[in-house]
Amino acid sequence: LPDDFDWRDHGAVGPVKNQGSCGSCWSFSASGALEGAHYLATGKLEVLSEQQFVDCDHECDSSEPDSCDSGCNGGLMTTAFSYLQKAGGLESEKDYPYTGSDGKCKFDKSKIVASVQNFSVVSVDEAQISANLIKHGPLAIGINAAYMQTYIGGVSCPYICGRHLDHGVLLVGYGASGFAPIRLKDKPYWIIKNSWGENWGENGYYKICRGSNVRNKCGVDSMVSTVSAVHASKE
Amino acid sequence: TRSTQKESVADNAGMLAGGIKDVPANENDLQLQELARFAVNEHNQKANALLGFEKLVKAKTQVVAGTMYYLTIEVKDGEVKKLYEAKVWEKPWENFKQLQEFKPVEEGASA
Repeated sequence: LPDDFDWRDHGAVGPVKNQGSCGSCWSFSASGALEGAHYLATGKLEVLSEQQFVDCDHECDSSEPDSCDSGCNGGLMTTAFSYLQKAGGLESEKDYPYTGSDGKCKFDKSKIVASVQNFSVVSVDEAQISANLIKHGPLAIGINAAYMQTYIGGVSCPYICGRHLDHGVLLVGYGASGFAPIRLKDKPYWIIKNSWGENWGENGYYKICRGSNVRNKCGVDSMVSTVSAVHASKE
Repeated sequence: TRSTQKESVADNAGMLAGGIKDVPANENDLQLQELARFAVNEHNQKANALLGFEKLVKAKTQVVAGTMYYLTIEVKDGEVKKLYEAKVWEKPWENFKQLQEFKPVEEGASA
């Protein structure tokens, strides 16, 4: 594996978006992962819809029947992929634009631009996460967002961070060495795309400490999923 | 790694990304107390009301772009104590704090 890797350098990452006052992070994480997977499968970057998930996806977790995708009240990326397999695919951002609030489902099957072939959960192991990232494209991950609220830049490396996950984001790369202000030294890091607009963090992106010896990674490596897209794109 | 895996599954059981979760409405949590006072003040200004903050009864939070706080607040309207539900959106990196909703708790609703 390379020391540094960033899917933004390979054209697999769409623009930074903004979820606003809606708890729809999970839909941005899922659409971001499929944008990458679709790019890897077809060579074309399609900016995909979140609102389709918010309005239409009410899929429940098979092992946690009380955990169902609930628009602005939260959801899970794996169940979002499972919804896409049943629905047939995802429309583009342009055709099904984001409103930031729960609405009636307006999904039009004829406007599908990307479809899920398969998805899986990646085990809790940094080497496997890196390998999957490079092989399958950006990964949908869960994170504890406590330290993201006040993040300005650099490598975030908190001494204490909860492991419970309350936010969904997109893992797009990693680096061998970047300055961590509170540690006053360089640390290896993950590169994460957030959905809080471009004015947040480093142009909408977050860097968080990486390394098997690093504790308190805000749960970054505990809920990771990969998705692959259907190759044939309808033209 | 088996124990770590088990731990993380337990931590995340029933948890939705972007879901609303209870937080202890501790009287010593200055940040929550301050948000509750902010909500009452904002409401008073907007609605030309004179509600007095009594105490924070319950709090929930949700990760959005920033944090959404759902606060159940006891206020004094003259001599009468009343319960209100406030929704406050905060984006610390923009110094943004906004009262989104402020409404009385309906009779018979869960305390």
